Amino acid sequence: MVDVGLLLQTVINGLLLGGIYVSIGVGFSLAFGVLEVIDFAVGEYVMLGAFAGALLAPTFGSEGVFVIPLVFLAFFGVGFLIQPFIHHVTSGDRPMPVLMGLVFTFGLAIFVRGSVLTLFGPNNRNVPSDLLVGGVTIPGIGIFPTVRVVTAAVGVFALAVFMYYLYNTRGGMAIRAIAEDRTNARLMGININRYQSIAYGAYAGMTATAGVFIGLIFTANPGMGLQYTAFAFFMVVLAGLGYLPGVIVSGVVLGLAQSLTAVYWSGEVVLFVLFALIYVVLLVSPSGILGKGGEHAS
Amino acid sequence: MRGNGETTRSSETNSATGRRDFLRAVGGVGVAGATTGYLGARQGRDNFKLGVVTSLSGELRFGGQVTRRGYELWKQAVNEQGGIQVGGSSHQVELVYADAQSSPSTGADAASRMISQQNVDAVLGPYSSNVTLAVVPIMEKNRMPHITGSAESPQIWQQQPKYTFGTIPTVSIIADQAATNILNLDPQAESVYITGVNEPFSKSTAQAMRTAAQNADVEVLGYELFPRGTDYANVVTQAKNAGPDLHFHGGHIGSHVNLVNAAQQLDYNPNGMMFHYGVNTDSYKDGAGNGAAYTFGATVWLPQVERSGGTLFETPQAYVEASRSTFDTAPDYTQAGSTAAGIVFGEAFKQLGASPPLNQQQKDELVSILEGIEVETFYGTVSFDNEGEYYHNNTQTSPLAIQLDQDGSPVIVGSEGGSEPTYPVPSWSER
Amino acid sequence: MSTDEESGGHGTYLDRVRGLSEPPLWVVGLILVALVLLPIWLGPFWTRIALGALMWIGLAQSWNMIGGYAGYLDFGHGAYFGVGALVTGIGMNTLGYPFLGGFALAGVVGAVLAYVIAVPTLRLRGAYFAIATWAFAEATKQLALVLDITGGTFGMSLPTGEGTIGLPIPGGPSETFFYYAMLVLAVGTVTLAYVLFERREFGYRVKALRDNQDAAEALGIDTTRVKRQVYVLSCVIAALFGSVHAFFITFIHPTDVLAAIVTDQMVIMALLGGLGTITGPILGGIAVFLLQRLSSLFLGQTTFYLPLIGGIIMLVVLFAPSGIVGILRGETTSTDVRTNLRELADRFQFR
Repeated sequence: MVDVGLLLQTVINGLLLGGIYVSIGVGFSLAFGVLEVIDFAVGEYVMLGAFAGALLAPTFGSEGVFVIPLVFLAFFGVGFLIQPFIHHVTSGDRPMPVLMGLVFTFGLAIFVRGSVLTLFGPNNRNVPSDLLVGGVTIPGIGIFPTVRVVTAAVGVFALAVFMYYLYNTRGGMAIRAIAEDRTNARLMGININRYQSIAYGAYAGMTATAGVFIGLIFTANPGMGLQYTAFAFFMVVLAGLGYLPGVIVSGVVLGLAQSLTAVYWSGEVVLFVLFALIYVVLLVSPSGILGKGGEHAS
Repeated sequence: MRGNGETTRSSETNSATGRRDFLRAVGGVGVAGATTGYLGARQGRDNFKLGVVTSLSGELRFGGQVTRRGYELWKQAVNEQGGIQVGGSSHQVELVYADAQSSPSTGADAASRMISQQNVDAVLGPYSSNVTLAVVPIMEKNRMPHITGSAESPQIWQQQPKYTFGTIPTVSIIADQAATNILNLDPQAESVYITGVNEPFSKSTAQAMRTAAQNADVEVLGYELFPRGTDYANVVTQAKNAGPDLHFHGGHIGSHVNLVNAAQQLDYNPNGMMFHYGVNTDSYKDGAGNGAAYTFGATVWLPQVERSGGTLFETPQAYVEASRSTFDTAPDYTQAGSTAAGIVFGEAFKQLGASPPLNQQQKDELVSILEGIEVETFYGTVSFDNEGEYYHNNTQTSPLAIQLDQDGSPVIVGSEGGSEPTYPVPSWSER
Repeated sequence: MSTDEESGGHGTYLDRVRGLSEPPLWVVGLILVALVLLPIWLGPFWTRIALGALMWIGLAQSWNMIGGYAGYLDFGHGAYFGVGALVTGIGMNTLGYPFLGGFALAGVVGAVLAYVIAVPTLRLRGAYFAIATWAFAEATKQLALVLDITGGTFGMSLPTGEGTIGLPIPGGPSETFFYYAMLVLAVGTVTLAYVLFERREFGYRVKALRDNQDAAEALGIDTTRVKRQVYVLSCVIAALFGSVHAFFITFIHPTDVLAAIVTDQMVIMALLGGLGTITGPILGGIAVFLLQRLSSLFLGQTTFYLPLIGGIIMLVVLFAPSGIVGILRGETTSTDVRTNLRELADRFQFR
């Protein structure tokens, strides 16, 4: 006998968890999928965003939501200025340039994680909010926790904005041209530095913003990043590299798989099922879940 | 709490030595410098030198910092009193640290360095059972006295380690006793839902909670373990669907925070939720924010409990003062247990009556002294079992159930002389 | 993933490094003699550090085979290290083998598993292969955490003491025993890599496959077969190191021996040292391991050493484009750094 209430709530949980993953994956699909930066620091942007939320909220009337615009702008700036370094190590006369970006961002991740641990200590920190507490109960269906709904909505909204920018503006066209062929793009008079920095800045800003939300939903602590680094990679590759709308599908798949397994099989095996699923999906569909991913020959 | 505030003056001296050691070590890599290690072992010192292996980074960094504070406070208090009196002379205490990074392999190398490079007289143990389990064989092999102030897994004592002791009762005792107290609160619970993180300490905790429920004839509606990093919305949804009177959870602090946040988001309202370990820490209270109030937990020590007292810190309150003035944070039982580990070593050194550095025969004698020791401390009376499944574990200190009040201060509940709990706790919408 | 701005670098880089790949034979001999005699001077602690460095040299070299020479970015390589460790534990605890039995079992299980994984996974390319192997490794870890035979979440303590090795060596396993075990494995791995990839025709087939798979096939190279051979070989080596590691540490737990950081370290060591060369992973392995381990032990009273390590890695990548190999050859002079800085400044031209 299937308990319909439990099933519905489990599906809601899965979809909203997928929404959380989308909010992380959307920025990363720009950095990894389009710019081709293998960025191991992605989870650390999530961590920094959550920490910024926890540290700055008190000066904004204990409301984490008000910190978000500031975090987006600040990390857009940070990303804008980090990208030239990454560009530098991924170009020129270097062996396997793309992989050097991996090493550089790996160093960056250790640096960021170690600095936050050393400066602020190992404690968990709360990102306070009065606006996003509680949930909306729809009778006969289930509870939609406000903060999770808003996070998912922001993720999907950001995706729409990024898509619009990429396909309907000159800047977006420039970025796509750079992704296609850096040398040709330069010959066409595109300022590679500027557009790469804009794209990477948008990624860093969006990922840190997702971090504030994750801080609101869960908590902030210096070690939280690693887990999200893994999920960001899985999300974007399952989606198909460079195919942005795919992150919604991969988010939903990962979220639902996790919640259904937890409730209907066993909590212990949740992550086993999840990772095994990712592996099998890639075997069956070698360029992402929808088969729409681009080829990357790293 | 500020992490950087922890750098006391004494540890700055430490890190200066550390840096010198490091430079020497870097110079010492390779054939030519290979002998520096032996020169590095300073002989003829007249202070007691103890090695501390603890995890300041990695998964278990929070607990690692707690034990470090505990050991530091002991050293500070001893040295302020002029050191440890042996015969007619007194000897200062020196602590040397290594970061085990929450990894058994790094911890084992750290332990080896303490013994063969630093020539320490004894070792204060790591935080976490995993690292301890890798360090214990090295202590045995090198016959090095070792007290851990923070490893709670029963696995350690089942191996009957001759040179290793622990001041904190194993979690199968703590969680069992505290859970029993909470199950017996009025109105008596009829059902409980038990969850835990799938890691050694937390699984032992959840198992002990389940045993307590079975012994109290309370129905266990669910018993689920989850890997680290799970989304607790699913855990809560299932538990809520089962509708238990109580919810028990075994894990480290991060998982409690996630669980309580999910409970709040999904409006899950059992009569009470009990978490172990670490309800009474700043990390839990800061992390859970206003969700922390009314949480039940377990401890073996609280400042307000009158314990035998005496050695080094007159009263539990004096200890709290010392912690606040040095680290700007209130101690929990892990920190207290770590300080107690130091105090026990101090007493054993006195009884041994030998000046440092200790030779092997003296270290063996120290272990015999520890086996028979009984020390009255602010943390309670410490003595170690010498047989059975809790071999060399201090089981004397009795566990307590606690509840955080509205301001997040812990009060003892469910046992004699305890306070009246807020039970059933108000639902999320009524707080 | 490279664009044509960058593609020219590869061949010339390898040509440049070749010189260092083959130091004179007498130098190699001298180093070997020194390595054999080393434990005479080292105390137990430095012996542990030295054997740790040897292990990471071997692991980085094994990753270099598939990642550097064959060009398949294997993000799940650490899984075989962990499987080797766990299988050895199972062999010794459950089946009652001596260590040597567990060691052999680790090799066999590693090989079979690697082949089973190789067949479907090597069809994937680039980032898809990288992420699939990563997911495979994570799934392996999660599986080990819930199985009973691996000790599950409680981990496993391995037997120690006299007679556990399975060789007529007096006394139990000591630091010196493990040093020589790691030495044999590491030297064996490096020699194998050198002979196979730099001296035999096999190496040219592998490199042809890396540089252009279609062209390699046009030349009549059975790329599928070659890929699988390299993958299985490199994975078995990782499993054997995992086996010795388990017996050495005596307590193993899935979250430690199957941690993602095991793979990450191999990758970073090979890349920082110099990818697709013999010397690179050796130098990278030594440098990264010592930096990591010694700083945590000697500077471990605070966590300040962590950002330090991160900073050093970033600086090396920024200013020593050809890795540690390049630094040692005096390639990274002050003029190079200045050129590098100027180029870096150019990246900040946003108009």
